[in-house]
Amino acid sequence: MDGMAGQVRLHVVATWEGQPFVVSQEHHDILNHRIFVDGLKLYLSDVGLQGPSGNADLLEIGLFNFGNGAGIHVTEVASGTYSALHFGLGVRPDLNMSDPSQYVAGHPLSVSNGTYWTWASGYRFVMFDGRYDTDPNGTGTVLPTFSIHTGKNDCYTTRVLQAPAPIHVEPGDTTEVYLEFAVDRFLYTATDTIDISTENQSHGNNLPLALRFTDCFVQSTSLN
Amino acid sequence: MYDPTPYALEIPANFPPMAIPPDNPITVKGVELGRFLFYEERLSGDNSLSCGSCHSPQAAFTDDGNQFSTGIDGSIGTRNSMALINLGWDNFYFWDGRAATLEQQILEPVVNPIEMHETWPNAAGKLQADSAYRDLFIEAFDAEQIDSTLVARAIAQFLRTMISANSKLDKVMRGEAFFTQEEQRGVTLTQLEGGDPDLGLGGQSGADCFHCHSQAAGLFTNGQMENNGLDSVFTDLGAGAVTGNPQDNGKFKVPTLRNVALTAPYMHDGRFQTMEEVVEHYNSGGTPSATISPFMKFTQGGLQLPPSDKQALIAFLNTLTDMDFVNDPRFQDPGAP
Repeated sequence: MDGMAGQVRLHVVATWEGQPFVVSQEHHDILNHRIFVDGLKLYLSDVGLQGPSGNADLLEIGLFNFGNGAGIHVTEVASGTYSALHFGLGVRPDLNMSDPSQYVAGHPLSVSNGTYWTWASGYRFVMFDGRYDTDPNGTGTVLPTFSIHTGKNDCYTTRVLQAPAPIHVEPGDTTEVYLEFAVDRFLYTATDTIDISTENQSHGNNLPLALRFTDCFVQSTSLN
Repeated sequence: MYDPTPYALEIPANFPPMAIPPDNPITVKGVELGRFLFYEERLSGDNSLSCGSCHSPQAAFTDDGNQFSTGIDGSIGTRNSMALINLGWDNFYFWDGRAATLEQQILEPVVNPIEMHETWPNAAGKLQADSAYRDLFIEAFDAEQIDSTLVARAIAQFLRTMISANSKLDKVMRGEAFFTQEEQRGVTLTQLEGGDPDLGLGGQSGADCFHCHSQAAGLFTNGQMENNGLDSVFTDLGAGAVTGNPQDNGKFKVPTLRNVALTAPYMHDGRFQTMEEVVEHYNSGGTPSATISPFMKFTQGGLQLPPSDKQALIAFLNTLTDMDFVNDPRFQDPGAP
């Protein structure tokens, strides 16, 4: 490690009402539907710290699969004090338009991840899949499914999250940064509520709905 | 004499780079050896079965239309023999994904009691007793002692050279051929969402194939495990038996569609004999279960494709046939070394 550099461990985590999110567990959404989230993957682009010490790049592009637990990305950055984290939800437009055949298996943009939309010549940004039940007291698990996939450049959204306290990166030390997605808030914002029993499919051909989901996803984020 | 000359692997222009394990680079001599071993019956307990027995070039590298394969003891398997096509780009192997690499996959059928039913020490010993193989292993790996690891590496090298990219669809993509109207309709249907557009859920009256059989980079698979709605009760847990996670029950590897017209029967258990049956399965919407893929969105009512569209899908699937691949002399049985 460079003498003036420190390590940042970026944890990208998902929660449900403050508890660690686990795929396929039963939850109730804000409309009191039973909901089972069976798959959650998302792309983040251009993740970095910013603040008095300038900007520090953490990650150009990453695919996070919450079915496999939290994602951790470790980067060496210049020591200093940072006050915020910026990121893009989705695949940055120039990468989104790139040729998927150039990426080897293991790369976040490899087609072997099953995230590429051939028909749209771009990637799915967020893949939010599962089952729902309009009966809050139901007990069955064989249920109608929802499949919410956002994509296309219109849905690429950047956000800056202010840190609750200054992020100090000391030379030779490791600093933990937690970017949290509150999955329980994936279906509502302060001004919008999505009824998963009627709006349960989004695959890129209904942009207004995809943008509403995107707004929910972005607003669910916090920095800890 | 050891000869590490690299094999000139020709990756099609629209394919991704192939991830080749650093400890098993593809060499001319490695591929040559792997081809002999692929067709080597001495790898089985009674010297009667080779890899090529259940992955025959005459059957597009499947088991000649059989639902299940028969092992040396007469035992019948429980899953359909998978077609060997473009394996160098797969994320995992076997229908249930239990092998992470080709090298791992190759180790298993030799010792599986319902398949080749041999031990690796015995198999390696038979090869070691053959001076031709001793020379081939020296040439390929600079190794005088033959073992399972080297056998698997050689066969994996050979399998990575088996690339199919010269179907009619490939020729159309390269501007060397044209689709018929029916084939073009089939291609279009695969790229459209299923469902009635009037329902407001983004339906496009399509066949909804693209989620799992993505055409991206020419591979026609999303490289994932999915439950495609075959059963409500699982007699074969698939990936769930490997991971122990009930949410993986009923999920199986999404195979490529390449050469699908040549590789009947279909599904992990070979339950469908024809492509028409397969298309009708998806048109019906499949059977609901707790782990069904969210892409199977129409278990109630199905896709409701008209007969002409179902026929167009079959026409499209036929454009994925690559006889140049099947008949490629480089992939045929070379005889004894």
